Amino acid sequence: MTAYIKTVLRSIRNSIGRFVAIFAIIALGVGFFAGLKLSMPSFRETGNEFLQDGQLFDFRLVSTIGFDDEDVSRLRRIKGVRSVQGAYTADAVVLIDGNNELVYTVRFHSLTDGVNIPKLIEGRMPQTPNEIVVDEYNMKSDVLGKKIRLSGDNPTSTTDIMKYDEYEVVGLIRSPYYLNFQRGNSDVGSGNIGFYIYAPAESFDSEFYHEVYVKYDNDDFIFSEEYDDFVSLVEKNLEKDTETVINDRFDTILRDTYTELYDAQDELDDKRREASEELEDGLRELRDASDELKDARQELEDGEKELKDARKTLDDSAADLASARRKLDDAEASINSGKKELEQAQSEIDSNRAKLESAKAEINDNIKQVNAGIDQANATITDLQGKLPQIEAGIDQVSGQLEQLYAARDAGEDVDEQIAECEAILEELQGNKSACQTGIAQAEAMIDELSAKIPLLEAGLQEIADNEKALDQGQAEVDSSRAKLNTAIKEYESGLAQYNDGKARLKDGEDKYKDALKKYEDGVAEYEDGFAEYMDGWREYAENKEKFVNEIGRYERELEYAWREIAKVKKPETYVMGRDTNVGYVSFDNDSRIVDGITKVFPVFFFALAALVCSTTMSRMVSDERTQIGTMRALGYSEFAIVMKYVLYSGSASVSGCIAGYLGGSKLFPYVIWEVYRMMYGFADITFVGSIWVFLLALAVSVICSIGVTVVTCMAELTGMPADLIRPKAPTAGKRILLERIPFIWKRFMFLHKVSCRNVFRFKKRMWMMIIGIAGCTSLLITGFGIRDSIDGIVDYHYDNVMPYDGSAIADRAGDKELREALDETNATLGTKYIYSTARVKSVTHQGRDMIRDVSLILSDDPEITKFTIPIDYYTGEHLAWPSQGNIAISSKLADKNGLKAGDTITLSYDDGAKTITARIEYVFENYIFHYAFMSGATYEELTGEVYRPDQAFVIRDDSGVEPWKFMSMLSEICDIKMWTLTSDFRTSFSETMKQLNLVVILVIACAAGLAFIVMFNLNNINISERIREIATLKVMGFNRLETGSYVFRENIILVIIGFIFGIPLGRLLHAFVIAQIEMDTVTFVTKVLPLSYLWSVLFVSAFTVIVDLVMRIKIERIDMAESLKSVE
Amino acid sequence: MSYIDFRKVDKIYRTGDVEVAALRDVTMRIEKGELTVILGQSGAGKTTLLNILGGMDRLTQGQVFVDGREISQYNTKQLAEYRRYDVGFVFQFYNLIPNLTAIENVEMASQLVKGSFSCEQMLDMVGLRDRRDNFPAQLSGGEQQRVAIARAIAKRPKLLLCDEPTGALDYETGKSILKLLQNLARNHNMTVVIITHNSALAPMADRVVRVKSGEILSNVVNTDPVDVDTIEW
Repeated sequence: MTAYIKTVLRSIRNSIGRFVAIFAIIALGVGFFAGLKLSMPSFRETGNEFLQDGQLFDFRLVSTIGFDDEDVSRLRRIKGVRSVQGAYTADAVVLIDGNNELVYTVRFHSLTDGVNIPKLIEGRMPQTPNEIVVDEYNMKSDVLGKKIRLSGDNPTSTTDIMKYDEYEVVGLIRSPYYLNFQRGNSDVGSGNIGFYIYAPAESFDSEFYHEVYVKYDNDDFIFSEEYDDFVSLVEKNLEKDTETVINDRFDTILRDTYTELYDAQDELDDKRREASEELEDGLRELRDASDELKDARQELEDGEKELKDARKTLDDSAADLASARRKLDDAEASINSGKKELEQAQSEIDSNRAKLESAKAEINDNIKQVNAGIDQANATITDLQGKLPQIEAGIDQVSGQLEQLYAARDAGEDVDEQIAECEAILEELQGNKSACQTGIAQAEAMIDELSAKIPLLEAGLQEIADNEKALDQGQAEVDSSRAKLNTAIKEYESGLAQYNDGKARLKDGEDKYKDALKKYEDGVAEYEDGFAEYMDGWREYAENKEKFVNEIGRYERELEYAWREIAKVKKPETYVMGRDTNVGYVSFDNDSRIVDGITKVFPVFFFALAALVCSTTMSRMVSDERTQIGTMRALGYSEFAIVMKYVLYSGSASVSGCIAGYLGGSKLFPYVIWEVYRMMYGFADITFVGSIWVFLLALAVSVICSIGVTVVTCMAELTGMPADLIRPKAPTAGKRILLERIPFIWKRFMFLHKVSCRNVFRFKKRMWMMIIGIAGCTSLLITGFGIRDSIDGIVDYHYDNVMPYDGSAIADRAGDKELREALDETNATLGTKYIYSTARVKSVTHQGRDMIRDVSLILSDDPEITKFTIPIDYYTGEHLAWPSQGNIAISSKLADKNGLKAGDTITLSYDDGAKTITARIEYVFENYIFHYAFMSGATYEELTGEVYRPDQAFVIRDDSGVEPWKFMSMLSEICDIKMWTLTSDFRTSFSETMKQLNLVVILVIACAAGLAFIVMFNLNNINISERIREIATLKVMGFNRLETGSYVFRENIILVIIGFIFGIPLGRLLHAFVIAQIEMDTVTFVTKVLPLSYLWSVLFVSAFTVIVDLVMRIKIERIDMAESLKSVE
Repeated sequence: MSYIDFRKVDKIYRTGDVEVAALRDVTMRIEKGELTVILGQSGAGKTTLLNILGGMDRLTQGQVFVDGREISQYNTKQLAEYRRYDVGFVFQFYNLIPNLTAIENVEMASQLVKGSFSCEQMLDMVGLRDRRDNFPAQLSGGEQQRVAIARAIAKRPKLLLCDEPTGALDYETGKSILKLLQNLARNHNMTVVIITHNSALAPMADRVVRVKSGEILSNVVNTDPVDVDTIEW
């Protein structure tokens, strides 16, 4: 058999292209099939590992009265449970250290043992109660070591539960509780939870557990039927047990509460009695005190009167003393003046006596002097009378001389001078004579005068003697007065002694009085103190009485309230929630199915092509080796042996292709698709799952496609007799084609085009293979590009046409009016014309047929709101008005997924399912991202009885160039804004997310390209090798390169065009199918393919065709013209 | 200068280190309007000669002139044009395009050149007017070869090269084909070269060239070519 094996090996070597074609198409088909088929199992395995490692809860128990340790330990006794853990949870608004701008809304969970165990990604788990680990999906490792602080805006419901204000981040984790990117809603902060936090149970300060997680001793695969069966098996019992536990506790609580209330009532009654008694005692005491005070007052008044009398007596005594004193003083004064008078009189007498003595002496002197004067004047007269004769002699002599001289002068002699001299002497002498005469007169007068004085002097002497006599008399009088004075002095001195005695007596009285007064004053003070005390006693009494009334009243009211409340208390509700209420778990279930949906179509398609490729290739091969087969048969080889050769050939190609495809595809596809899923899940790296069944199925299909086809082809060939086989096979007969029956068209064709047209239909199998290949390739590309269109466009379309607002802001406290004013002011400040509308966006949930959905309920009474969230009829595209009173409008996905339509009613719940709103659906509106419902504020008030308070503003920018973020920051300066968001941020983040899907597009394009190349290369290869002779002939006939190539490739062009004709509609269908399969819950994809995508798809296929043409032209070049001369084999 | 002029033509095929001389120092002349028969056994080099004359292959050394042009100097493109405008080919196995009817096969050739003969006329000439719309598979071998001849001459070639034109035909049919070729040369002054191993055809030729082992044995002008009908083999 060595020669036999050799022929096989040589066949492979000689036709490596053919071998590779089978290998490649099988590999591609199997890769696609296995890859897609194993994607879901791989994802689920990845999910399962993660959830088993994390021991995701089987049930989450919630009760309206929480759970206590006793409840938990009772629940632990349920059969089959592995872990039952009470847990705390709290939503909070937090700030991260080092960034005071950014406020996050977070959910705190307590760490639980043996259930919901987070996977530590980085850092470490908490060791102290103020250490936490946070959501790795939303936080980066730079948060490690930072402090997370509760903001001041937290409601007390949060701050009461959280033990600390500050926690340190020590690790990043992924919780099995949050499998996908959704973090849920909250009543706190912005309403959307930014990330979750796990903290030790000791970080919480709550009397009761908020929820209990139950993990059964069951490790069934997630989403498996076994698990579902298990859940339905235990759920009923668990519900019953939970209810029992909670009801028991409730009964205990109720009983305790009643007891407590009765006790309180008794206590209150006792207290009231005691207090009244105490008050009465107080009153009695006060009255006694009042009497005592009255007595004291009387006593004091008496004392006061006595004191007044004493005072009067004292004052009188003092007045007597004072008058005595005055008298004494007068006496003293008269004594003193008497003494002075006496002394004066004495000294007067003495001086008068002295004066008299001196006057007597003087008179005596004067008498002597007068006598002396008379003597002197007598002497003078005698003297003068002696001189007078001499002077008269001189006058006569001089008078004689003068006469002589006169005579002489008359004689003329000059004697004038002697005359004058004699005249002067004469005059002088005359003067002297007069003076002497006068002197004598004077002295005589003097003697007269003096003689007169002597009698006077003698009278004086007489007078003096008289005076001396009077003086002696006065002296006698003085002496008697002095005697009288001495007696008066004696009298005065005795009066003074008497006075001094009285004074001493008065002083004593005064002292005594002072003492009495002091005693009295003390008594008064004492009385006043007593009185004040008494008044205080009254006040105190009044206060106590008031306090008593108030307090007793309050306790009475409280107790009354408590009685009323306890009468109202309802039985507690318990809820047992399975994993199907966990958003991440359910989404993962749904999303992992997506890929499986695609596996229904694509592989069939690829395998069909693989079968076609094998068939054409093998039949070509068999035809080529016709003669050889004939020879072998003629030599006596059995049919089996001959067929085996081809079976081995195609079998080795397909089996190796199958293995290669399986190995590559089962890794590549799950990996790439998981990478796309990573943006939503990404909780772990993918775990690849192999499946021997998938492999065997792929192998079986591959083998049928290759070996089966080979056997069939061979058998068809081998039915002929050896002789026939040795002879050349008649070339496929030419045939007229349908088109020729339409001469109108046919005649217009160029001749060579006619040939091509006819050639196209000459080999039906190849034609179909080519058409299917090209159509498949085109449709794949359209799907690929279409996926991008469907996804890319949505974000823009949604934010351009459905929710065209540029930003929204939630006011902290401001009401509608204040918010509007703030917006106007912002416009005024910035000089902008932003338009706005106000509303309230409420996070609600809807329990749908398949899952619970978070829905944003937009409430507004503002007619302008329809400019911001536009209600467009989902079916007609018509712009509608805001839902009318009593009605609601819901978004398309919400309606579609639950089979709801206008006229139906919908129930939305909020406050953790505690409250619901049920309304009639007025219409369904177009929407692409998230789920929304519209309702008027008035309807909300009517349906819920709650007050509608719009706190959210939507704005649309103007063309002023002021960016929305500027507007928003200005607004938050003017008004207290809880938070604001920009649509552009959503757009960006969504676009980023969607970009990931480009990977899928690339994958699809790569597959399409692979498909196109394999099919076209293979077909052209066969085509050319089958027509070598024809081509050589053409060459010999002088066809140039271009003409020869075109002769062959014109057929390709025709086939490609036909392929497009089939492929484009097929692409639309496939795209719609794929979009339906990959649908996400929060995003609605549009089943649309842009014209550009069709163009690209066509261009890509054309490019593949051109590439194949170029390569094949080289092959045509190489065809030797001598081939035309060879005999037909 | 003769119409066809081979001057010292060598053709050596190289396969690895082995050199095989298909033609050695071939010098040969053929005049215009002559019916030439090139005779030789298998492997004598007559096909190589035809390949070179038909512009399908290049020579290793020497010169070949056809109608005064040195085709041995032609590049690939010029050779294609030479084949297109100057040479008509008749193959042993007819090499008709199976997907084209008789008339279409002729048309295919005639469309390659300007001033071609009318295709109808050509089919008339080869006596296949009635079969014009038949596909090759519906025609007998002789009929197919007639179509092939019609196809070859429709483009008014300077030279009609026939490679064993009767090789795949029975005796009678072969004769009628040969008759057709002889008439073409005689009546239409067509230069016809027939390559065959059948020496019985020699008498009908105007010139007989014998080839052996890549060399020309003889190049004889037959002054009295006989009518095909008289030839027997």
